[in-house]
Amino acid sequence: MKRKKKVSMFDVCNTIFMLLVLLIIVYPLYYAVIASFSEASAVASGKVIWKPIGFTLDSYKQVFSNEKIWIGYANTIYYTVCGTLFNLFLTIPTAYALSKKNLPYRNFIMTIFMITMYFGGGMVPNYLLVKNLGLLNTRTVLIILGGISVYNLIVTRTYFSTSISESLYEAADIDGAGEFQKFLSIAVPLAKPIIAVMVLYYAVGHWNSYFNALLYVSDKSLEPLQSVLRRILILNEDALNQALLTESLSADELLDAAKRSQLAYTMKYAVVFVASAPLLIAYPFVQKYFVKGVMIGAVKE
Amino acid sequence: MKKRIKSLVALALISVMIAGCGKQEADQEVKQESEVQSEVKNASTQQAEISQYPEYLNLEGYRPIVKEGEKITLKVAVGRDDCAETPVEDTWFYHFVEEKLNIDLEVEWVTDSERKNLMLAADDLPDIMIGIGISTEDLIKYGVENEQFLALSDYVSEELTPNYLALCEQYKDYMDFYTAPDGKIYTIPTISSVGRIGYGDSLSVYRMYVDTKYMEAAGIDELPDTLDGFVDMLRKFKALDPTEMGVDEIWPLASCWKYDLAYYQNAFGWITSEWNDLTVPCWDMEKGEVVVPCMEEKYADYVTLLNTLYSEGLIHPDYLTMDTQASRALESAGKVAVCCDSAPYVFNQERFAEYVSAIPLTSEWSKEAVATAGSVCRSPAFFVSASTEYPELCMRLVDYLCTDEGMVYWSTGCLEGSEDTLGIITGFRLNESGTDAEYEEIVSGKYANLLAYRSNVLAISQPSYICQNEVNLILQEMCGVENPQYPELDITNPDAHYRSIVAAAAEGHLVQGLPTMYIGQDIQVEYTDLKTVLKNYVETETAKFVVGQRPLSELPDFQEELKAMGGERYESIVKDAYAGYAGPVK
Repeated sequence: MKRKKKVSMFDVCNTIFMLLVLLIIVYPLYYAVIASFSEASAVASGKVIWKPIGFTLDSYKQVFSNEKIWIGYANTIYYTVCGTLFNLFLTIPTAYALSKKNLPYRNFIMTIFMITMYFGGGMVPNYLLVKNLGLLNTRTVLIILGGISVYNLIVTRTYFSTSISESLYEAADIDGAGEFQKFLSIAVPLAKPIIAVMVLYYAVGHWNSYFNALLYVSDKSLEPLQSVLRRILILNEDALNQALLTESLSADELLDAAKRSQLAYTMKYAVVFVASAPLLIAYPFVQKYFVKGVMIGAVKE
Repeated sequence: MKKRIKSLVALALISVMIAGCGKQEADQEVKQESEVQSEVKNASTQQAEISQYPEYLNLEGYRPIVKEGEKITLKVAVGRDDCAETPVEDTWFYHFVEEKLNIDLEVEWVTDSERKNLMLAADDLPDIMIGIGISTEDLIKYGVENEQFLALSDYVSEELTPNYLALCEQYKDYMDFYTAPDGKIYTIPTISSVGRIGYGDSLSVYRMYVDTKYMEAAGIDELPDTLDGFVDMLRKFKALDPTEMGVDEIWPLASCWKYDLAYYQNAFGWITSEWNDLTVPCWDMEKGEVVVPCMEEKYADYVTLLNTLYSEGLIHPDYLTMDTQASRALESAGKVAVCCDSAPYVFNQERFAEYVSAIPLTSEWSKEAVATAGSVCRSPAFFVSASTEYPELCMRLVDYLCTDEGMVYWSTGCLEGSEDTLGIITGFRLNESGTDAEYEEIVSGKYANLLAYRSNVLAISQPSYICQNEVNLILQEMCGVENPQYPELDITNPDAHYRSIVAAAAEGHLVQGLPTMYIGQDIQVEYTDLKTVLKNYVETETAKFVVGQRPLSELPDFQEELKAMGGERYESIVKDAYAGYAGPVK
């Protein structure tokens, strides 16, 4: 007979505590969703707490009424896919090479990489570099800038050195495999979990990135989604101020500007949702790799 | 291990030596470069003095500015209104400059302050910068100290820039605002409106609208003209029954931009422009001198007034922390009797005409009812890089923008039917009233409004005016109107309505705020240190007094604390900065 597990006071407190932590994490996300479907005045006056008040899709209509959002989506997908591939192209081979104990000057090279984690050139030298390379206002700059994350490089290197047995490489050596063959035929197929993790890390980075676009891209047709969303929000928030500064607007135009300005209050929540939704949808599909990839190599036997 | 450490130390020393040599070389290079630059500058100044302008420049007129056969490209960075979506290269003015003035433009659209900061910090400036958000601080740091901006005043002459000179002369009363501490002018003045009812200096800074529905319910026939009367009016509003007013609660006053603070401060005789920060100096009407309000004895009375409003529930309990949208939500719901917001239509689109503007107040601290006048001078927006290869050309372009035609073309486009339309726009014509421009593109519904049309089709940048009020008269002249007049305010238009009631309430009470304060470089650090400490302390302690966290009986101690923190020294610094200021124009 299975003995009933005794529920201790600790378990009760722990569960309550963890539920509170869960609430603290989940509630802001939940709030963003319900606020985006509520009347702006209800959100501003603090009436929206648990469910949408005055359910409306106006915020989403306003966000999607701007055609630029689709250009932004297309650009971001392009930057995310190309950028992530470029990152992987640099990170995986580099990590593999650095995991090899017989690599000449391995520690020195690693030290050079590590230095970049603590010291950067700064915004102005970076800008001058990009400018002198003729990369201003190009798609390339948003793909190749920050090609390797040293943190990701270390994680991947650790995976290669701890999770793939050295004897596999020795066996390949005996069979006459070269370094490239060992990398492509042994290391890469066995590194799927860490590649999935890297894809996730890099892709999320590219998806959320907007700062580089602000600095290096002024051509609106190259703007990523985050910048487009930011502009749509500012455009509506500022509609009223712009209207107040403009002479000769008709009554209807002024009232429309006032309404759009009010709507901007809930639009920011809609923008959060629109920007995050694709990643939230994609996350469960890579989660199993993610957990596996992070755990492997965590314990060294 | 020791060997490694030795190697590292040696490596570090070598690096330092290399860096040192590099720096020395770089220093020499910089020195030589600056000598060359200063020679070039001297040479060009001399050139300007003896009227020897470049051959390519047409000094006989502006069509074209660069003589035919010559090809010169100017790099221009522009800021645009938020509703701009089309490329700058698609705008009419861009094509007009290229085709009619014969100046090729390479334009960058700057959408963010980070980009602007980067340009300035990296000294990677285009020839001309328009409306990209260069602040007064930027002007001082990069323009005056680093000499990155061209001093336009160094290049003015009757031959090269007659219209720019005339404009500066016409608005000489306002040129202090645009003159840097080194006495030079680095920008084109951008004047909003002078003497036009409902605009610029005919409006007060504060915006307070009283709901006539509440006035009727409270039995108030006339707006109060004393501070005590105003507070009594709020008390009467508070005493009203919410259900009779059709709401679940009544707040006598709500404030979006804290305009009410400006209103009270005026009632204390202070002509404040920065009403949220009372460490900023202002003119005191009673004393007739520049003062720092928080250091004044009557500051205690001012704080006491705010405490009264708070403790009696005349303002919302979250008054100090409430954001604009939350205040506006209360106003929109009809729960507020006195709404401090930009304009009534902003919070009440249906009943905007039922609000009246509060009138300036007298008090025991100010016998005269005064209100800070709206600013005439907009922030400087047009700059030329000191490293431009074509300073004279830039100046000539500046001069064109200061002509009647340039002013109108830059903001309004050209006349309908004119060949200057270039087939891109139809051009403007006079509207039915014959006092303002209208556009076929807007009438036909192709563009939602003037702002969208101007930003996407006409102008290459914001602000698209130099003297906003003049443009209206000039365009009437261009259409053949003999005695141009400003359009009358049509109070059925929500915007004209607020302009009309604010101007009427403030008429005869307006006083100009202080001009821009420039602090000498030698005491800039001391000023900033004192200002930072005092501002934070005044803000937090004032809030404590208002909400009752600190007893009002400690107000004298508070003012002693300010003195101990260097308040008197701070006061003397700002008073010295305004030593030459004779007082506001009323």
